[in-house]
Amino acid sequence: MDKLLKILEELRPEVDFETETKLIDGGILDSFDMVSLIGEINDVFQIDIDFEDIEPENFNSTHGMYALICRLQKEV
Amino acid sequence: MTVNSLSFLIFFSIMVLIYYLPAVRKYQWVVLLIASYLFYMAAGIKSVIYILAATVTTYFTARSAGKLCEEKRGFLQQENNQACDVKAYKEQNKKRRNRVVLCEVIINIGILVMVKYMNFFIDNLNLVADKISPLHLNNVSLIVPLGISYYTLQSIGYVIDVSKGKAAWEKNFFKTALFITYFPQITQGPIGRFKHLSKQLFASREFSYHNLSYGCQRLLWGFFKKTVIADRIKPLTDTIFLNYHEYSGFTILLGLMYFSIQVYADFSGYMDIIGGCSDILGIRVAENFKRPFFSKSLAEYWRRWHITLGEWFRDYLFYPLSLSKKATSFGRKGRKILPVRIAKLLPSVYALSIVWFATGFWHDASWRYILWGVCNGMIIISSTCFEDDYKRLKKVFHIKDESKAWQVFCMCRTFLLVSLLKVFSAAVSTVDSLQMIKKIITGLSPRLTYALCFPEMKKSHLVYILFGLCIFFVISYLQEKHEVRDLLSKKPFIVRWLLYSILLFSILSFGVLTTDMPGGFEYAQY
Amino acid sequence: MRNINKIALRILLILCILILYEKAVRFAYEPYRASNIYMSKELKENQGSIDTLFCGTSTTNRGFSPQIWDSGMNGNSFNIATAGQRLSDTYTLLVQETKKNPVERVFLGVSPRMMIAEEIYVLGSAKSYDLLDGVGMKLKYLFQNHTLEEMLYLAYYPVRVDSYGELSEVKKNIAYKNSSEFKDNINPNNKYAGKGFLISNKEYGGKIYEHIEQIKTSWSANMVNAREEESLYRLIEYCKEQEIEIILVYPPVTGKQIKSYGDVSEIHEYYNSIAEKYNIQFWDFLYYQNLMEEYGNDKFKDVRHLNRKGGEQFTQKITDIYQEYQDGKDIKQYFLETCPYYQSNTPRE
Repeated sequence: MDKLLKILEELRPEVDFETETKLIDGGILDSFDMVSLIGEINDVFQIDIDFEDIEPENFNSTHGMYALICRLQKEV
Repeated sequence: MTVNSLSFLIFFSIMVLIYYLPAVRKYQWVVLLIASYLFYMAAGIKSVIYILAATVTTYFTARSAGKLCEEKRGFLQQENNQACDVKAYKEQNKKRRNRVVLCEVIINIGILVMVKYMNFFIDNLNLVADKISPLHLNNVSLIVPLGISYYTLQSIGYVIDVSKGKAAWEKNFFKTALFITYFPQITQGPIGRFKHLSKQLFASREFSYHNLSYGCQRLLWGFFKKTVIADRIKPLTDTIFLNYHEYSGFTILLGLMYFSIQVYADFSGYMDIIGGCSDILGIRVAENFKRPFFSKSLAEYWRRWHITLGEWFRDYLFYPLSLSKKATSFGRKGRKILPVRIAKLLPSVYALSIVWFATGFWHDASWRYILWGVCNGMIIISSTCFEDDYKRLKKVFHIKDESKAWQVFCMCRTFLLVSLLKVFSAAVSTVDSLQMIKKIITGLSPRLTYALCFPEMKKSHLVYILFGLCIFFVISYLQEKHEVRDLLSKKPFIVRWLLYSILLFSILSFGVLTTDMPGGFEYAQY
Repeated sequence: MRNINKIALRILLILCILILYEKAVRFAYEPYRASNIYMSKELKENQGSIDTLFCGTSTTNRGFSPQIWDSGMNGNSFNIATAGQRLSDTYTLLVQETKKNPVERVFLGVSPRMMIAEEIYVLGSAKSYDLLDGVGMKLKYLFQNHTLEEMLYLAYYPVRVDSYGELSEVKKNIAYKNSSEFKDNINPNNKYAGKGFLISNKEYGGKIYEHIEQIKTSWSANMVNAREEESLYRLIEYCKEQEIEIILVYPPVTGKQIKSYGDVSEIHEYYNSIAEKYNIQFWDFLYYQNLMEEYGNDKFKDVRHLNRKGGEQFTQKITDIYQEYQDGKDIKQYFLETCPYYQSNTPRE
């Protein structure tokens, strides 16, 4: 979780990722952010997030992202 | 059948009456299907073949993809699978699904290319071939089926969603047909998503006075924008662009700004008209506009203008491309030679270039639209690449993002930029657009006279436009924070009907009804 | 059920608002001098006693003086011609007026332009629309062959005022329309002589103005608009059914106009053949024997519209010829075999 938060904060230092729950729906993370973020997460966590995983429920909050990461790690 | 015609009014009224008959309740979607096909046939019986072809291919590819997804789910639920078997199965299943999607894409994009882009390719081939050989291809003359650019994307999106497991495939062929042909969306979009639209299309609903009232309000608003603003500005922009040789760069630049407003009023007005019709049917179409001129950057503009198109290209082209193996390896290679900050953006840049090329090309089969797409792409890419430098500059000049003055400045800057980019659609040909750009750069000569700012425009017509724009601005400003129809419903009866009356009177008095007819009592002199 | 009531009430409210709006704007902004106001009133006043109608477009509007005809024939005529009136509108107006009046004869002023009418000249229709009596007639007219936008335009052209801000004009209009002169039908418009007859004291100076010269310079039968032709036949057949005498008349035009038409024999033949087909009279004043002597530029206000002098003179001639025709005399003597303009040594330009 900490690794994830570090990635997010580096990407967008002005956002409070611990409490924000509308990162996608509120347009806080745009498509560039998403691509950079997914690239980083794939590298750091050694998983393969595909574009079909880009759903609001997976990326609206850090918890959603973490759950996705855990799920994909299990599958690998 | 255009929406501002008597035949459409009659068609729609009868359709709504039948739609809400209690006996028809369970089959409302059938009424919509028949109405959509009737609407489509009114545009030309021969084009029905094309949309039927799209429906058939979409239905069967969605079915294959859907079945593959179901198979995969069934397989994964089995408990006695070996890990390596699972991986191999998943890869195979994915390959098969991708092949199905590829079929759908090739067939439908193929038809689109054949119908809309053939002549573009032939003309360009001839340009080259004529110089080196006696070979000369003749242009084809095929009818362009109504809405083919829109329904093609909508169908492909649906099949991709099914193959990714994001939507269940529709087992009923006719329901699939309705999804593709739904008449309010067929002419100019919005490009709908299956998950969101199908729920509404196939549901049954009772007549709701609320829907009728909201729908009519939206219709009124749409007609107001179209007749009082868009069609009133049109003669002014036509004068400037059809005779741009006679005007200075300054007038052309102003013309581009007027054109921006005109296209916005026209397109969003049309969206309101079809949105209003759809609201009356109890079906909410996706939003295509969110007050784009309040955008502070070009990237934001494209999240507020023609939203469904931008989202389609983002979800079905940008993300797949930028997250693909090619893009990630491109990014990795980039890290070796470029600073990390830039290298991280490489996959996005790669994908974005393709997306903007495709977006430009999708609009029209011409070099000027490709140029337009490329320009948009370059500006967005460069603003992303230089984002940090930009932030640093702002710190140096003590510019705060929250300051109202800065926000207004950004909105004006974006509006100017967007208007400049509109030169590619305002001009009649690629050459004309380049010449207009040249005039703006080299021959600006700004002079604030009425004749140069509003060539050949009657003062009274200008007043109508300004009146319309004031109302447009106020309502748009309110829309940023509220759903205006909800706000309105809380106001007293008199206030609401005063607003409706003002809009209605504006359409009748100031709106363009039949072109160029003198109004009022000019006849009195004859 | 509640919903139906709600909806019906609101539709009624919208209709009321629309009607009131049109009436209010019209009252305030329609110039108190507009001839149409007085023409409509006079038409209603004379209802039941009109025995002669002059129909057609602006050339008829300015060519036929009901005052001259009435004094010569001791009758009650009315000029229902309006600028740009299409034959389908003429037919509608004719039917309306013949139902309310003991009309015995109709003079239909013809011209080349009348048969071509490519684009809908909505303004022309607007004037005719004004003369229609009753909501039923107006609705029926709107729904005939009009697009939704044209319908809205026709019904609402009075509200499409250019100068909403000219409040001084509005004051004048409201003041006059509330005055006793208005109620007594005193017409302050010196360009309108009453009973539909528009007049001008201008004299044609010989210049050609583009908007007047829009007519193609050579006319041929294949330019005829089928809808207009059908309306013409319907008109004539209606008159025959109702036993109303119908006479086609081509009012005189200036030499310059004849020159720009080129050869006028084709149009002459066209109307002549229709007249022969239906066994009615066609008096082509472009073939009138004294055209060059009696209809110089001083009788016209522009290249083809008669001025007051010209209109009254022309109507007097029509009256005289008609009386002789009634008496069984041979009136062919007044008309030549070809247009005298071509034989004239000094072309009257």
